[in-house]
Amino acid sequence: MSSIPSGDAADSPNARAEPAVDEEEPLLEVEGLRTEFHTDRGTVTAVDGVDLSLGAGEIVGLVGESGSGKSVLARSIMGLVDDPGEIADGDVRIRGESLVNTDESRLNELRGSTISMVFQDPMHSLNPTLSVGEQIAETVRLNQDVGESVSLPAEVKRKIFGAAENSEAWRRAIEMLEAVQIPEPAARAGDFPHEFSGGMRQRAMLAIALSCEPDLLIADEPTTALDVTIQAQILDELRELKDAFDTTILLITHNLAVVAETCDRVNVMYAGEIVERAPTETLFESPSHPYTQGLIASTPRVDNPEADLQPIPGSVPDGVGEQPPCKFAIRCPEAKPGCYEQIPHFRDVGDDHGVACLRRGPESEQL
Amino acid sequence: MSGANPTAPDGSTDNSEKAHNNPSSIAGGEVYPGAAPPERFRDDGHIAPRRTFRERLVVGLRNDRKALAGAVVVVGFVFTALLAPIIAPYDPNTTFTVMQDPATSSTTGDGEFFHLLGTDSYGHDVLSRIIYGAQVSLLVAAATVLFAFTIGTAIGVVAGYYGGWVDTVLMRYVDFQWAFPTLILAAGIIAFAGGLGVWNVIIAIGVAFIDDFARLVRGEVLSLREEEYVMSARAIGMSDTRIMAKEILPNAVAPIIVQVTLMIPLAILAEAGLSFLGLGVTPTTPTWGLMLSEGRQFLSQAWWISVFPGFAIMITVLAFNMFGDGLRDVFDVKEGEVSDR
Amino acid sequence: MKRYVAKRVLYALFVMWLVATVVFFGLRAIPGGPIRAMLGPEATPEAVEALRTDLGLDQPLYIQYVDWFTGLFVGDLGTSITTGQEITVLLSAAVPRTFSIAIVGVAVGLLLAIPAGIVSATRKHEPADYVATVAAFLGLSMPAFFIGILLAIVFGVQLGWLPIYGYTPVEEGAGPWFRSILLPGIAVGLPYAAIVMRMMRSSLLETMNEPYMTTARAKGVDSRVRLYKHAMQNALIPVITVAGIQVALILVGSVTVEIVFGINGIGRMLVDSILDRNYPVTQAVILLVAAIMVFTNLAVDILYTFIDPRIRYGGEQ
Repeated sequence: MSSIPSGDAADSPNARAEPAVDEEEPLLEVEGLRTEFHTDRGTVTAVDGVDLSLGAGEIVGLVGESGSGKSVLARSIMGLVDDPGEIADGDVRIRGESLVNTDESRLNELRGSTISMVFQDPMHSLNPTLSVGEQIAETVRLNQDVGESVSLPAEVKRKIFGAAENSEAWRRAIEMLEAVQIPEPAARAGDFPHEFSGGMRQRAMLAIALSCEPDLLIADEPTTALDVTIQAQILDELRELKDAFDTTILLITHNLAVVAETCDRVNVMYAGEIVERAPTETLFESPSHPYTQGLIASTPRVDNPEADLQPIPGSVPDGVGEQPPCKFAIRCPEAKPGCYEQIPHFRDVGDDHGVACLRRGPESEQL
Repeated sequence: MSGANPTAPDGSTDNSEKAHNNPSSIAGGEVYPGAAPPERFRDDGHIAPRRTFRERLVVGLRNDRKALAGAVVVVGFVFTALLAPIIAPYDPNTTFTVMQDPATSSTTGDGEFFHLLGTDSYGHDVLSRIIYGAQVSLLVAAATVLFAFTIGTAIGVVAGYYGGWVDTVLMRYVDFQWAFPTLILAAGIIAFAGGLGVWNVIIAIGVAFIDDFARLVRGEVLSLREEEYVMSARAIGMSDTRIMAKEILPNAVAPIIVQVTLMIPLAILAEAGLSFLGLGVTPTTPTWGLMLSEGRQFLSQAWWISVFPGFAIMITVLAFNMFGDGLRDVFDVKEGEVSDR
Repeated sequence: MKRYVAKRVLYALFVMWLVATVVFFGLRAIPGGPIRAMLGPEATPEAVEALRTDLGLDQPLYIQYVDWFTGLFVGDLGTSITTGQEITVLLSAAVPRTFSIAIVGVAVGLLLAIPAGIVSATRKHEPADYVATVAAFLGLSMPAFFIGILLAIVFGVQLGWLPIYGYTPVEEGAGPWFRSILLPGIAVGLPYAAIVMRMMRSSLLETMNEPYMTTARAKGVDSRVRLYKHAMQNALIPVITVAGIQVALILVGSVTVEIVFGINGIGRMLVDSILDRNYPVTQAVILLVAAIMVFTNLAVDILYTFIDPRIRYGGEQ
């Protein structure tokens, strides 16, 4: 029944002691992932031993502040981490196939078709010199067999003269634009990104990402750069598309409200580690980790606008040099001297609810 | 339970500025909400992990071999120019045997004289003339850049600070000047100023360089103004205004310093060009451009008359360019900001 | 887009008017008066008066100004003091020579710079990059006339492959014509290539770091297609600007290189006229050069409209 191997990476604070809830084969498994960046100030461990698992058809949230490593985690999964960064340890598996040890050409095959990613900045994530339709059609051509060449000369020709309007790929592009509710899709497909508004650009990015019906969609802060009203629309969009295409979504954000609204399960990330995971309702009703509690306490609430905000003192560590076993202890109101001596392994505090804190759970240490 | 424990038990505080262990920057007061961490995980209250301006400059230059090499040659050039009478083997106007080959000796009535770089068509020792030529190049380049910098900065500051129609008018002039390539503008000014000579050359080239400085300084003034608004907004809250002045101001000045460093080689090239055309400083002063011009007719018989001064120009200009490029990298100025036309 | 082009054209015309005006006053602002400067201190009063009338400098200033501009429109740029020929005639002989050198220079420059810039950017920090970067530095550090002299010595004197003096017009054969302008063309083209190459390299590096390149990678687009289909057009935009502006460098180079190779182009005309105090000619050449600069930049601006969809298709919804 346990489909996630229990941590033999005994030093990782995230080694799970309990089997996963999901009974089927997980779609995506991240195991003990560690991603490092070698800068001239030293080696920064942006992702430090993360375990994650996603099943089919769910929307899983990954919450953290800037500097928590969530974007690096997303890129590590997609294999987009370059010099001076590298994946130093651990594995990422999609349907059992390891992504960490494959070559670029296999990764290219999987990208767009099996795993897709939507990025944070719709203003700059679309190529200004290619029409929106072409950017979608290209994905279709690359990942599906529509009988059109993707050789270099063919692509350059398409760049200069535009795509053939009667081609299958172009037709699909228009369909996708319609699916993401862009008005007048056939006309708009020939437009360039600067002719789209921010919200429309993000929808276009969704169209690109979902055009080949990937099994997994990683959405890195998809709504951060957008107005609040548009944010709501995009989130609705995401849910509908998930249902329509049966895609699993990993939704990365720093915005708790987005998570509350959209996700089935949540992982809380701090300083490169997952510190708590729970179903959404559980997380908000009974947050366990002091960091999670601090995050929720520092969020302004509509239902209690006069409540004092309690910011968490200090700031996220920069990951250079020797790290204490619990990275949050220095900012934690419940820290005891023993918190600086032992690694807080993951433990259960409820149904499907795990936390990495020495002072929680039935095994809470004497400190 | 919440421990306020700013200094370690042994009373030491670590205030060094080296890259340090930063598990969490609880700035300044060092009040920990929970139990205090052991010494090795503690933060020393460092506010900005970024190095200070001066540190970046020194470290950046030390690591850039290209820039260092350039700096060394530049210093060598300056010393050569300043100490010319001492370094040069002979007086630049003394004549020996005409068109003597390099690395040979000429014999006249008074004895044997070695010419490392040969002699020219008048019999002057090429090496000595090159060394003295450095003086002219240095003088003209420095004066030119100073002139252009002064006037260009004045224009840029006025345009950026006052804005409005003053800005528009001044910038129209700058745009207009763009239509004239340096050498041609300089030649034109010399023509219309009615004659040759050092001062005319300095002014002519200097005027040609005004637009680059004006545009750059204006841009800096505009962005400084933005910073002021930001500063006053923040003054209500947290930041140390003094630190911002120590960081922002040097950063604004940085592109200007880079521009000055990169303009000097352009001035040297321009002066050489004018001399080559016969429009430069008076024909009797040995200048590198003039030497190239004099040697032009003798390419088949005495190639060294032109080639060695040419290499002198090349090495000096190259050195300034490498140094200036290194400076630009250190200050992190984008290539488009400083013009190296 | 039409508005953009119209604005640019108007602006170019404005600058040209400004230039012509400044040149007009520049001549008349010569210390001691242009006539005396041209004729020298021993000139007789009659000679001075004669020249003054000849040049129309005895007329009231505003009439001179109008005459000047009408002359420009009609193509009458005056006559040379020294030879009495019409300047337009002199220019029509000189311009093709300079133009030939310039064409070769730009062609050599771009053919070297763009591939070198691409290689340098895609193989950053590898040996190819270092070689190209060093070569660019050298190209920037040598004045065009020195490059010309070196080329003349190596290919002309030592190897005897190419002529180092004189110009052969196209009419006398394409081969000889090309051989007479190849060395001067390379001499003006190398410094130009150096600047364009550096811009190509830095622009491409910057483009590769843009978020949309990551998007392309995340879609599974392979690296060569990413370079040519996704990156190049964006990267070329600033390169085209530089390539246009630096035509100035080609013109400047031409002035000195023409002297080296004994080619009587407009560079030669300019220098001779200054040394001879042949001011009407100086005036005309400066005006011509400014016109070339202004209209080259205008051409680049217009070229933008084809390359950058943001300009072609206006603004946002």
